[in-house]
Amino acid sequence: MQSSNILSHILSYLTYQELLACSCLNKHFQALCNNTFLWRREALRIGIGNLELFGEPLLGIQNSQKSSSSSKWKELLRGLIESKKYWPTDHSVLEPSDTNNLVKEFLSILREPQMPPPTLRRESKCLPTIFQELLTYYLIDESPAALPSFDDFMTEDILAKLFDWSERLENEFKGSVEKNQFTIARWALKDPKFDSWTLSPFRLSIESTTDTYDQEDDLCQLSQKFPLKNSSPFLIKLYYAIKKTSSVHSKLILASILENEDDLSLCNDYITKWNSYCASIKELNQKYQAFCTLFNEIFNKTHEKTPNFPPFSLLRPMVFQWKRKVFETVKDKLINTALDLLNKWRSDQIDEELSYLLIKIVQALIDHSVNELNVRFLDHSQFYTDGIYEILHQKTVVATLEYYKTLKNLPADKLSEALEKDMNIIQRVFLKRTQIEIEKIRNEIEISAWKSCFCESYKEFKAGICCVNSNVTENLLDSEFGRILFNVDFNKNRIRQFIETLQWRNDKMVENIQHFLKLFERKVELQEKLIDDLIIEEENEQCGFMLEQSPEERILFSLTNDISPQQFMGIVINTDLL
Amino acid sequence: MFYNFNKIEEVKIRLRSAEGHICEVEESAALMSSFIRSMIEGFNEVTEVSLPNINSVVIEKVIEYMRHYKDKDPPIIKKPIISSKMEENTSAWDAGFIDADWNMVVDLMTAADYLMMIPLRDLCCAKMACKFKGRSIDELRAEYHIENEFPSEMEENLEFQHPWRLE
Repeated sequence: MQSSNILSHILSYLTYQELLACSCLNKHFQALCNNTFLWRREALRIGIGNLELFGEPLLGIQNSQKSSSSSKWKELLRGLIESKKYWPTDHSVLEPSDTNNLVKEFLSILREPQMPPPTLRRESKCLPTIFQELLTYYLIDESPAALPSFDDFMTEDILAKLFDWSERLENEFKGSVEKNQFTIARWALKDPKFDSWTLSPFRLSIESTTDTYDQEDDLCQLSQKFPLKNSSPFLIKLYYAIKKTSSVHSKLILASILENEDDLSLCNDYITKWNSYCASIKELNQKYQAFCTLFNEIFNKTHEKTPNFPPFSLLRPMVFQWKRKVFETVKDKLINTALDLLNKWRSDQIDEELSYLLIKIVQALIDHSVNELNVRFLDHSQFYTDGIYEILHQKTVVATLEYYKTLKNLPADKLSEALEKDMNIIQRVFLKRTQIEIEKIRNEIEISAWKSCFCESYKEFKAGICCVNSNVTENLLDSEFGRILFNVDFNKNRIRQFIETLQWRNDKMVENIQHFLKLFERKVELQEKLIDDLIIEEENEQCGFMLEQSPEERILFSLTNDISPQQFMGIVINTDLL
Repeated sequence: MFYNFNKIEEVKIRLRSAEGHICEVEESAALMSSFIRSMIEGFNEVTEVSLPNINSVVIEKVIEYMRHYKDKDPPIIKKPIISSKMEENTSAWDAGFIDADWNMVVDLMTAADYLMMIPLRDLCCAKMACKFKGRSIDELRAEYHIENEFPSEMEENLEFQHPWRLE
């Protein structure tokens, strides 16, 4: 082994602090420390924690084959470490040691949240994901079950101290600019590129006077010129710190996810990390309850009318950061992989593991399509979302139509079998709305196939073999089946003879006719309101939740679309809610 | 006829040091070295391996390691190491084994590298890394006689660029 290799190997046992010290020794050490593997490992160790949790060994990745540069990982690590500086250290509210503990615990929960036990990991279609469960508890008084605490830090106790200063913290929002900041922060308004700008009072003043603020160059300059002020209210600074820390963490997650060499591994990795992030949100929401409560209480006091909008919690800013930094980059891959897996499943080309991956991908896409209001209507056949699931739904329907076209030439009984099998897949993977839409298509195709089949058989029928009068015959004659044959031949007696012949021959055709009639009944059912839907609506109406959302609710509750402060303020002013 | 199978002695491999001394080690222990393993597997009759780069003191030390881990796997040292004390990074036996002077550790590492004994090489590297742990730039430069090649303004710049290392 060459001396440089030995030195590199020795350096691999050091932490990033020691590597930075070594890189200052001389040029040789500087070059050796500039190793992608070292910085990648340190960034992932600090940001993601136990790599074994994500199926990546902590050891033995000395020679990274990745083409990424060390500076990228160094920057990601630096962002993570430096996110500490965004956390407010106001001696009169929190001691620096308290703030330090808040940061430590926040990062520690992001790195290694307490995952639910394997049996509760929502791995079946019938159970909601961690995220969906979190959302369902969001607007009602029940909190998710408390997680056992094993930590040394006590975020909850530290944040409870804020109540001692609530009067002072409330006074910080007396000015109108601060009030607007509060409003914006509360609804977690989303400005993907300019975090500090979002909270800058200058933004609001410029918005009201000119429409040119969307010019990126100007924004960049202004954003640098007017960052979050030191004098900003304490609660806003704390909110901003949470947002910023979630943002740098999400960037690191994205970098690690993009390292996967193929789309299947990428999707699998994404799902693992998204679940982990959801578990972090769940845990942090609990720990930051005091902060959120105070935030909401002061908001209600400083604003004359309290709109019935989503209460502030950590969920919103954290989900937005994930969405912008991670989800937006990989969403197309998730959709394409899901459709690809569906096609393979249909042609029996995948094993149980991959079919399970498809279910998990779809669940992850649903997560980014729901909010606190519509999550309760997930199993409703009219569930509508403006999120990514809508795209998946449309593409799945189109892909299904294409697939069914390829089946059209099959004999009716074979077609029926194939469609039955396909419906089982669809029901296992997709939401009720997609299931119903596909079932309608299937229904049309199958009914049409049976119609042709029956007409064909009838044409071949030679009358006058026997006469067996029975109720069955009369019923079939009066059914949709009989009507089809009347379209072919007006001779009712001959049709009756045909049906009797089929019975006498004990032909499988009778079974097929019964099946056809069931399909027809189902077709009528699908055109009306489903009983399951009525049950869901009734249950939710009792809690005050409606399937239909107002345009304002769609915007304010949306976890999927970015809303500019301008849009938001427009709604607030127009609806006269503030 | 009575056979006492227990008395059948294991084949020994003779390791010839740089000075020409012969050190014997049981074949099952010697197989820890991928280098010796390939020699034995490549040439069936081989019972002596010449190691012209390794002196007999180091060979004895290597044999001690081979014998200890003949029937079990050496512990894996996690990266990065958590302490400058080896006993906090690995097993007590390993920590005691590698508790030697700097030159011995360097020789052992060179030998481990030559003999292709990855666990022993890692142990030596971790021991060396302990010497870097928690030390300031100036301390490291002084101890290892490292000349500062950076102009003073650049050095200040380096410090300036990495204030987060102290976080």
